[in-house]
Amino acid sequence: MQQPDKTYRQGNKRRLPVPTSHMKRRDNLIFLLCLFIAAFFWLLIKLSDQYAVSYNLKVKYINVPEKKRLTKIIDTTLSVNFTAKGYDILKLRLFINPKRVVVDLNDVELNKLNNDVYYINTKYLKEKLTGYIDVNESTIVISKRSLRFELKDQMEKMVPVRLKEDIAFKSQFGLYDKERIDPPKVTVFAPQSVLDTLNFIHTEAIKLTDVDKDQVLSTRLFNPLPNLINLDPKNVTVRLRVERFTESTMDIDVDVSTLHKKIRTFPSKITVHFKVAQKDFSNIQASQFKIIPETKNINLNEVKRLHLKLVEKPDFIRDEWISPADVEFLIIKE
Amino acid sequence: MIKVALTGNIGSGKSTVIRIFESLGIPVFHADKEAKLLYKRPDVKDAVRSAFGDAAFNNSGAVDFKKLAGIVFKDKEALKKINEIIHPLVNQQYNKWLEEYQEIPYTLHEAAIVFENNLEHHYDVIINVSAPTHIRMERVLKRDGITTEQFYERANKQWPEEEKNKRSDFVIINDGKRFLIPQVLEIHESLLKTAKEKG
Repeated sequence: MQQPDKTYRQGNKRRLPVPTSHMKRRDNLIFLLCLFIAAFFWLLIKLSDQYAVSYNLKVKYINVPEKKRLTKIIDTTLSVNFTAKGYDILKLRLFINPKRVVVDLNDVELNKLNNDVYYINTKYLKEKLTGYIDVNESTIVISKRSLRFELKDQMEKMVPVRLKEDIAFKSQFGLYDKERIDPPKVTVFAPQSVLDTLNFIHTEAIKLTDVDKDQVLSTRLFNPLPNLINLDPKNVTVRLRVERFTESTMDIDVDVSTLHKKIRTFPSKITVHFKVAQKDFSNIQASQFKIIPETKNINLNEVKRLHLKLVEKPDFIRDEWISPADVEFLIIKE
Repeated sequence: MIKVALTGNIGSGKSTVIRIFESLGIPVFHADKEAKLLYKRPDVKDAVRSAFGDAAFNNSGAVDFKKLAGIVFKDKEALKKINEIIHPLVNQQYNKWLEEYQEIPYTLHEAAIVFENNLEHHYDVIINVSAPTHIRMERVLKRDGITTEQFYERANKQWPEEEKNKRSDFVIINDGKRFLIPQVLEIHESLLKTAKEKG
C-alpha cells in the first residue's frame, strides 16, 4: 500500500527543506564568482583611468665620437613623468620595468657648454622614450631640459694591424705568402699616454681548421681598452692565400769568395732542405741560394770548423735548413 | 813514389777525403772517371755488348750506366764479367798516369773495390774510409736517389767495414763526428815521412 507523504503526515503543515552541505558549498562558489566578476570589472574600470607616473632612469651613453672620450657623466639620472592608462602602466611594470635610458651620441645633437663639458637637449629623448615605454609623447615630462657630460679630445695615431690566428691547414697545405689585411693600418683614438705604448692592433683571433683553399674573412679588431680607445675602422678584411707545398732539396756550393783568406771547405756542397709551393717548384735554381761561412770574430787559424749560414734564398721557399751546418776547412796557401 | 790506394764502401765519403788530399797537392787517379771514359771506346763497347747484349745500352748506342748497374749488381757472374773487361784497362791507364808523377812523394788511386778484386798487391799503402752503415745509406739514398733495397743490394757486394779496416794501413773514420782533416793530415805527414825515408 502506498505511504502518505511524510510532511503531510505531520499535521499537513508545509516546511522548508533543510539545506545539505552540498548546497552550502554551491552557494559559496556562486558568491565568490560574483565577487570575482565584480572585482574584475572594477579593475577594468580602474585600469582604463589615467594615472601620473614617475621614473628615475640612469643615463648611459653609447657611440661616443671617435675623436672624443667620455670622461665624466654630470647628470647621471633623468626623472621622467608621464600620464598613461592603467593598462599601459601595468604593461610597463610587468614587461619593461625601465631602469635606464641609453643615449646614442651618433643620433643626437651635441652642444658645447664650456671647455670639455657638452650637453644634449632632452627633447630629443622624448621620441626615444615614447618608443621605449610605449606612451603618448605629449604626456611625457622630463625633469631636466639638458643632460651634461664631459668629453675630452682624443689624440690619434695610425697603427698597423696584425693578424691573430689559429689556423690548422690540411696536410701539405700552408700559407703561400704573408696575409693581406685591408686596411693594413687603422686610426686609433686614445689619450697620448696610451698611444705612446701602442704600436699595433691585432684582430680578434681567427680560428680555422682543415684549410686547403684561399680565405677571405672579415674580422673585428681587438680593442684592448674599450673605455679609453676608439678604433676606426673597427673591422678589417683578411685575405689568406693557401697553396699545396712539397719538400725539396738543392745542393749549393759554399761561397768563400768574400773571405780575406783563400779557404776550401769539406764538404764544398751543402744541402738546402726547404718547402716550396708546387706551383713554384720549377722556378727554383741553385743561383738563387747563397751559403757563406760565419767568420765574424773568428780567427781562422784557431778553429777547426766553420758555421755556415744561408744568406740568400728565393722568397717563395719556407722552413729552410742546411745540412751539414758546420764544415771543416783548409786555408790554401797562395 | 809511394802508390796509395784510397778505398771505402759505398757512401763512406771517399770523395770528400780525396778533395782534402787534392788540396794538399797530392795527385789523384779517379778510377771511376777513367772507367767511364773507357766505356766510350769502341772496343770496350763491343766487349760489353757481347757480354750483356743491347740491354746495357741506351737508344743512342752509348753504355747506359744505370742499366748496366742494374744488371751487374744483381748477378755475381755479370759483375765478374764487367770487372774482367774494365779493370785491366783501368790499370793500364793508371800505370800510364803514374809515369807523370815519379817525382811526387806519393799518389792516390781512388778505387771503390780493392780488396774485393784482390788488388792489394798493386799498391804500397791502402787507406780505407770507414763510416757506419746507417750514415752511408743516408748519404747514398740522397745522392743517388735509390731505395734502401737497392742500397743493400750494392753494399752487400762489398766487404764488411771491419774486414777492410783490418787489412788497411790507415783508416779514416768519417762518421760526421770526428774531424776529417786532422786524420788526413796525420796520414799525409806519415806518408811524406815514409817517402822521404825511401829516398
